[in-house]
Amino acid sequence: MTGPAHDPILVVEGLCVQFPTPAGVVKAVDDVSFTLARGEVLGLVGEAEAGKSVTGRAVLGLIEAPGRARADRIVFDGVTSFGIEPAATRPVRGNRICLLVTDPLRAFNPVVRIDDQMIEAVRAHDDVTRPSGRARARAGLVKAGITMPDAVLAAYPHQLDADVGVRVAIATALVNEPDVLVADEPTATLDATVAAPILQLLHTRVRESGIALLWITRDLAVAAGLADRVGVMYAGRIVEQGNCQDVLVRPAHPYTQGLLDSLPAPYAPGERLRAIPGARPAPWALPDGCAFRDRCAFADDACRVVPPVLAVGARGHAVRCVHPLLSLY
Amino acid sequence: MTGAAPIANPDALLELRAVSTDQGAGRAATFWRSGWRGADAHSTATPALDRVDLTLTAGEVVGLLGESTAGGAMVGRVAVGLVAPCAGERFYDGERITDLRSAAARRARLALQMLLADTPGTLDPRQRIVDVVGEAPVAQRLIGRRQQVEYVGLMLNRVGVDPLLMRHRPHEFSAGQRARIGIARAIAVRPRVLVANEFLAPLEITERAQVLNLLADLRLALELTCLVVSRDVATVRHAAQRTVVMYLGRVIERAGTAELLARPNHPYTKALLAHDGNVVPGRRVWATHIGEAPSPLHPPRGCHYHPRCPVALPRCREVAPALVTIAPGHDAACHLNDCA
Ligand SMILES: Nc1ncnc2c1ncn2[C@@H]1O[C@H](COP(=O)(O)OP(=O)(O)OP(=O)(O)O)[C@@H](O)[C@H]1O
Ligand code: SF4
Ligand SMILES: [Mg+2]
Repeated sequence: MTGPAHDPILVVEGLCVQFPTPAGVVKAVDDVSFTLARGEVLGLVGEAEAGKSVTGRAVLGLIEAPGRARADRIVFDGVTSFGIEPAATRPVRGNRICLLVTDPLRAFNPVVRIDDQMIEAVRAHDDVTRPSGRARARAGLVKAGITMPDAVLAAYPHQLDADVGVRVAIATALVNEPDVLVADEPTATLDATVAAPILQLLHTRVRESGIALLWITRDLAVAAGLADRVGVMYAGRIVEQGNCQDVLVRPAHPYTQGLLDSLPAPYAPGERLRAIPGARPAPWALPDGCAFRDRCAFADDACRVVPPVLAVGARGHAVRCVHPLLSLY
Repeated sequence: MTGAAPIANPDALLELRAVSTDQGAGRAATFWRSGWRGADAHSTATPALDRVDLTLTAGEVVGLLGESTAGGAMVGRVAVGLVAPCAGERFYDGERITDLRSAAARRARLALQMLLADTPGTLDPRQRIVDVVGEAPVAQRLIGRRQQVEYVGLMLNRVGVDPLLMRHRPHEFSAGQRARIGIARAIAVRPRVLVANEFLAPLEITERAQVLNLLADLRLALELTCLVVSRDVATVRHAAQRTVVMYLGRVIERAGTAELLARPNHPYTKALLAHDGNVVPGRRVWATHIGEAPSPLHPPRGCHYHPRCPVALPRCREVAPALVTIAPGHDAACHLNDCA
């Protein structure tokens, strides 16, 4: 496997997102940093409420008041800080950085035909005629593996099957040939065998056209197959990050290990699973120190005080734990 | 098919024989799954069941493996009596269920319990947990009304929910806790058969592991027989001794789980088993798949899988293959077995 050259198109450092709620301030994303290179897939995995979607939305400047997003540094294609506010990201959003969400057809206008919406997506960022916009939309659908592009163009969103809908959304997101695609579980509602050719397609497109893909998912098996590197999130923080081999085969963080141990696949049939005890803390009342400490078998007093720092080792394998399961070097 | 009254298989605790449903039953029942993000408006369509056979022997766990359009969830509903089949027979404990008289029919109804995926309507949002779990046992006179609180406490303890919370309502719990409450509600009426109908799918990874362990414990302690309806290969592999694979309303293969995993026969089974849930960097199991999924409301002629099948024969387009025994205890429905 040849990974892509690490010349990042997107650098995010120290991203924090907070939401005031009646129960208290939710630190949905806390000190998240990552880089994304052209032609690279970064998987962002973790369970519900880990902060994966908020991270993805923040990168596109889609956090709206009363939520607050800030970052120490954002570099996009060599230009430092286009900011993380909605206004600052508008010139690149939908054009050079695109978002795909779960059941992505829902993000479409239900009463406007697919062709009008795709042509609109082209013309929003490129001053072309309607016919040439339509031609680009049609070519995009073909590249997304749609066998009857003209029928799809003439359809309304609700007339499409779920898997065709995902392909249309992918075609729309890629129609302007963006540099970065943030995909927030777009295939989560599809069956495995139906999602499979779509994943294959995305993987090919990423490798061929050098798109940088941020792949947000709860499905570790898919992430392992698709991603070059992964970040594991828990309670708003990236607790472990690195290439798939380091993170998903020889994890250093107790939560990553627990997550992998919770999957039944590697066990003998009927064998007892080494499940992580307890439940995740309420997002407005995260414990001090390591947010995982109440469920962690290795926790001691050192884990209670301050949040562990993200220690970076060989090959960029980074872990946020006082007592990592193995040395990073 | 004989004209005489059908005889139950003496080894079976629960048996479905050649059960079919029509499309109407499918639509009527889709509301059970609406609301859960895994089953959105596009995919709630359920196929008609086409002569499905299923046998549960006392004490075993059978997996019903199939994706959202397979009809497995409908089989689960038919198994517990929530949906009446338009053709075919149901037997419980040696008796045809339609022949049972009221007391025995009631016993059969209680003995067959279903675990449903967590959706907003699965647990009545207005009820307190003490009634969610305790109402049926009181109504069915398994316990007296005065014993309800104590009994519910026992049940909640069994499933790992704090009994002190029994005055709370379902929405105050996490999805994992609600799944446990659903289990408590089911076991409170002392069932013999539990049908887990896509029950674990919406849970998070760590919750699912906890609940899988809990169900394994309860199964042994309460001597339950289980039907696990799931689209997750890893879950079925882990939990079930025998596995039945469905595609668009038909059983296409069945065998002991180990045998099925070692020697899958049907091309769809092979394609599905590739998604075994193992976390392997760089393994792209999805490269083998072709075609678009057909609508479950208008299944293709012949073998339902033929438009997606990489090795389909001309005959597959015309004739539905029969389920035939290809090895001891291993049946499959594929025309490729005709020539072998
Ligand atoms: N608009 C909002 N207002 C208040 N809190 C929010 C808002 N959006 C997200 N949150 C909170 O931020 C946290 C992270 O949510 P996020 O959607 O990123 O989780 P996720 O990792 O994507 O999980 P999932 O797997 O469920 O999609 C959660 O606690 C959530 O409740
Ligand atoms: S910092 Fe402590 S509590 Fe947190 S994961 Fe590491 S050992 Fe466990
Ligand atoms: Mg999300």
